[in-house]
Amino acid sequence: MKTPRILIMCTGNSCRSQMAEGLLRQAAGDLIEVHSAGTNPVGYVHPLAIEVMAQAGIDLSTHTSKHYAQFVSKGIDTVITVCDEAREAASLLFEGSRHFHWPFGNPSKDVRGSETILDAFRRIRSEISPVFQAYAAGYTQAKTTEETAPACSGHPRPRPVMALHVLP
Amino acid sequence: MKKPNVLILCTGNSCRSHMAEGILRHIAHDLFEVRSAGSDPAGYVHPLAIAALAEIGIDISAHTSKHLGFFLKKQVDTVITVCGNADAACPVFPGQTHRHHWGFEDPPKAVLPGETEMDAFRRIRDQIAKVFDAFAAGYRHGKAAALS
Repeated sequence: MKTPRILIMCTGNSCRSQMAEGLLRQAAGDLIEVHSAGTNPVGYVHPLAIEVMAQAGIDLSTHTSKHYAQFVSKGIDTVITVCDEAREAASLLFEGSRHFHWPFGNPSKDVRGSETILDAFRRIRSEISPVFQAYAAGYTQAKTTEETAPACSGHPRPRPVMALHVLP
Repeated sequence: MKKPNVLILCTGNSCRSHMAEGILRHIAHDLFEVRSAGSDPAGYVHPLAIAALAEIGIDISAHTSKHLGFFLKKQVDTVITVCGNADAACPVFPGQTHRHHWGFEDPPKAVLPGETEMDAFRRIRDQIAKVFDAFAAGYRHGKAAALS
């Protein structure tokens, strides 16, 4: 079976989609190939996104900010948009893919009264994190449950090869 | 195959776990049997939780607040705890199950300056909706991948 390929999209591919990419790869990188891109990439990963993810044990320092056009016709089976601006572009260009839209505030702009900008990045990380952990948890649970379920006639499954102990 | 039983737990079984139950049943009733319970049930479903879900077309007015002991002898495949990370008494459910923890703030205690209590319920409802939508979406994706 081919490894599913997921593209996470927002506008700048600088904050939210980069954080989401790191989170989903950490949670299910062994089962899913994860990429991110933007409709109007700013060309760099925001240093505070790198900082708050490093605090959570996830390294974004080698990530780059990319345009989504480079993923068209690259076998993306699922597109997840994390800001409203990217939603339409995603639906137009990745027609045959699954689409999910889970929008989050832009941490570099959406800073609340008493917050520092770093607090805003932490808050958005704490909102993004359970969403992508939940996706990974659902994926992993269904895959393991279905693969260990007994086969029925409609869905023949290869049987595991058992080692036979031959008595002397 | 029988649908997996999902039990959603928090402390009071009054706000968060009922919103999560209503949302997950709404989006994934074909995948899961969904229930909720609490370790110290308040005895009622918060009227603003009912109102916040009614706004998005989900009726939880018939839900009741239950103790998790009610489910101890039933088959439970997946336990999801939704208490806030700051809550002292997040329940533990015994048995061999899939366990997930996604913490949310208790809406009545999470009202921000300038917000009404209803605003806090709406904000936390939207956070819960995204997480449970993602869980169901990931589950459907994983199921499709396993059968392909």
